[in-house]
Amino acid sequence: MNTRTIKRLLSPLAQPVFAIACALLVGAVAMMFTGENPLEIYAIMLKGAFGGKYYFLTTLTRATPIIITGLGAAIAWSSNYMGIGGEGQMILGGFTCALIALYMPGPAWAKLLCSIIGALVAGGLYSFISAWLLDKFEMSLAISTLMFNYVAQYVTMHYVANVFLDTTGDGKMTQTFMVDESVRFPQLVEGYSVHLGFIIAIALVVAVWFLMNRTSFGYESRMTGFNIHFCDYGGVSSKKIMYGILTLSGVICAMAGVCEVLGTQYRYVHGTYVNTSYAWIGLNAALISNYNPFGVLITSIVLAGISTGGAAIARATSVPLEISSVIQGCITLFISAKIVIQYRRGRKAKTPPSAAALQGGEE
Amino acid sequence: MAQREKKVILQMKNIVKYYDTLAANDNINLTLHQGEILAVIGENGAGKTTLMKILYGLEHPTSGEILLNGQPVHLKNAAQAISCGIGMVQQHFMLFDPFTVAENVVYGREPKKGLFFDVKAANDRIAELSRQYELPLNPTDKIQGMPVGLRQRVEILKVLYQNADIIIFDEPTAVLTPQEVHELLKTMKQLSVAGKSIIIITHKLNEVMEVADRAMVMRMGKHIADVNIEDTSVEELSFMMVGRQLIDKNIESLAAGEDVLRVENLTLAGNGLLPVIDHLSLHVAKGEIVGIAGVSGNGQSELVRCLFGLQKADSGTITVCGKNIFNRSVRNVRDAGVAMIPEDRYIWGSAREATIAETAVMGHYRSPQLSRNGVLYTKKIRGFAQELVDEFGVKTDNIQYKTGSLSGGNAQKLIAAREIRQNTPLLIACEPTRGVDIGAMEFIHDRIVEKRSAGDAVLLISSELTEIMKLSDRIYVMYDGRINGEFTRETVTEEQLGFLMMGGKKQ
Repeated sequence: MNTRTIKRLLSPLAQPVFAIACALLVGAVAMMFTGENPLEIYAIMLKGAFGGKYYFLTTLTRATPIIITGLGAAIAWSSNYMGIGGEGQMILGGFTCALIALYMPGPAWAKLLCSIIGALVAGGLYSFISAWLLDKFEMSLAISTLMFNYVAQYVTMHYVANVFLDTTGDGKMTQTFMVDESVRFPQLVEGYSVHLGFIIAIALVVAVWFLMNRTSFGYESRMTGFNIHFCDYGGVSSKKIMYGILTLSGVICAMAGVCEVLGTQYRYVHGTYVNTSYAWIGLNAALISNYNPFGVLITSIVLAGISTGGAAIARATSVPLEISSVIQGCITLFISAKIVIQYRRGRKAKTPPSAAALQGGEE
Repeated sequence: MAQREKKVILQMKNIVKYYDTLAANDNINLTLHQGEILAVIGENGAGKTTLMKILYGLEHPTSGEILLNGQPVHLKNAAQAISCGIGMVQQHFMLFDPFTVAENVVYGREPKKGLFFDVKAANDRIAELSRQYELPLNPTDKIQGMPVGLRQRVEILKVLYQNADIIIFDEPTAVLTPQEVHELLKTMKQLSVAGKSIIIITHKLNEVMEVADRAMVMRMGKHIADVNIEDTSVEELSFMMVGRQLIDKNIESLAAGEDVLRVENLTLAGNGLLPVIDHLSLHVAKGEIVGIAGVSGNGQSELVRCLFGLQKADSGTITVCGKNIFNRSVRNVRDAGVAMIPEDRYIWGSAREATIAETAVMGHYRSPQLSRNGVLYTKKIRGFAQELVDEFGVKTDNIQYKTGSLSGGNAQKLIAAREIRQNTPLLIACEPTRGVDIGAMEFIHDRIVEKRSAGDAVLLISSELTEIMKLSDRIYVMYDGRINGEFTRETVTEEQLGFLMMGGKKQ
């Protein structure tokens, strides 16, 4: 291993570390305005996120949907399909899952199986529509997926509020009834919130890594992300790849909704996925880790830690809860600087052959 | 041509330029006299382009100095170089198609009448320049539809309009037909008579012998020699360039077998009034290299795309080994037994961000040796990629590095290796040696001939006439989307080819 090799191996880490460090620095400045010592605050935050079994496991619970939506975003974005519909797909997945688990007759295992499959199909189909719109009408993926987030959010709200509303409570929450205990995900540690969903998330990390790095489909889709002309020329049907990868991305994001319904809340609650911005933090995690699934796993836990740690400092000090949003916002900002650079580079490489290029001689 | 008493206009002294640890220019000295034509020659990667970029302010030397008329200058950018009277005729033309000649020439330095662009003054000035330097052009013609030779003339006018005294030509003949080359060389001589000093970067030695007064030879970043053209020969120059004697091999034609590729009445309407490909028929047999000569933009690119399934044609038939591949998908075409070296290595041929191994297995990865049921055998893939890299001498430390880390010539070798090793009955080779140095060019040529001699068919599309004439057993000339003549290896001459490439009729 010469220095060049080491440089190449370490270079992917440089950007995320830089972004997180800068964000923490900006966060520190913000804290100083509240008159607190940033170092102390960060110590409390660290403790609140990872110090002790309770805090650590809570962070893992929170990380679960972030990891899963992060994986969903990573496969699409690494193939250069920049969809931002993870939230809508997650909502639809959670909603479908809750309804099937609540209203399907039959034994518990059948309910469980059908509710999961139904949710995945719903999320996949939802994403497929965006792919179809892109293919047939060249509709911008970013716009269609973003708008579909609102469609999912408000259509499900209508049905929850007017058809499936849980009327036993105080009626303040727009939520469904709770699913039966027999279909809930078991807790991994008795008395702590972390549940089977976290194991599923880790399994998905491995599965997605295998898919992207060890299969023809993964090879083809990553190449599509690098240079779509190269794929067309190589005999890869880039259209099929687009449908495949976007549908799969929707399926994975729907799984995040399933985990929330069966593992955490045991019902579909309108607005929770939006308020917690799970899918967006997941997208962040995917960007920070440069779409590497294991990177998504680690970054998601760090980002979830910033949220839970933020809650801890809000309890213990005068620094408001929003500080964690500030830090996360800054990470996004510093990471997105990278996207702009990459996007520009990508554009150069992907300009279709022009007359000038065809006439040109050597470089 | 006794130029020696003329005054020295430009000196570049001890120029050194490092990229990381690579010395692109290692202590180069260049002297240019007024009214002189100096040829800077060398293989690709010899450092000619870097030297010219330094002179034109696009790169900054690590050390060394530039003297203009005896005064040291620091050229920070191209604008400064232009104001010092240095102009460059770019290899890739930078013209706005919908604008007129005059508008293109004055772009950035428009004559003004008050706040407004003075069209008439511009047209007059261009007409005057074009008369003065005998570069016939109509200032009010649009660039659109102009042949390459005329476009280049517009580029030259642009440089003259900027009042350049030193004009750099970067590989100016790469895209021209023989007739256009002739015109250009004439123009250069006229310019030098008019007092302009000219530097021409090239690796075409015949042109150097015809037009230059002096030649400066570079090899691997080093200054090898300065010679007067009167005292040298093509053989000596090529020996100095390459560092060894090149053997001119004669390639024997084989008895051609049955047809591998048959194209009949292929037509592609395109979106204009004239068809891009017009009832084109051709065939390529086993054991045969068939060249398609033609000026770029006469439908060759479209033809290849239609053959390969990248573009749908309107009518006609295409068969490979008896199988119909007309308007089939690329995958079907590849499965039918066609491989293709694409004309642009970065647009079609590779992905810069992918690793070398990933670029090397495109099209191969579905084979049962490298994957099964959609799961890739990573080790075997790396082994296969390593074999290609070793066999074709692609220079890299590690096949896990990105393709973009390869130099252009090495990327081209990788792509050629990949496609040749598909071992298909038909290889379509488009500009297979564009931008590679002479050693690599010979290597790729040898592999292509080897493939043919093993009984496969090769369709060669190239804008390099020497390449076409060296390799092809049979040659089609393509003009305006049609086949405008056919030669065999024995009957072809460069003049006839050039004549037909310009749309002339075969006698």
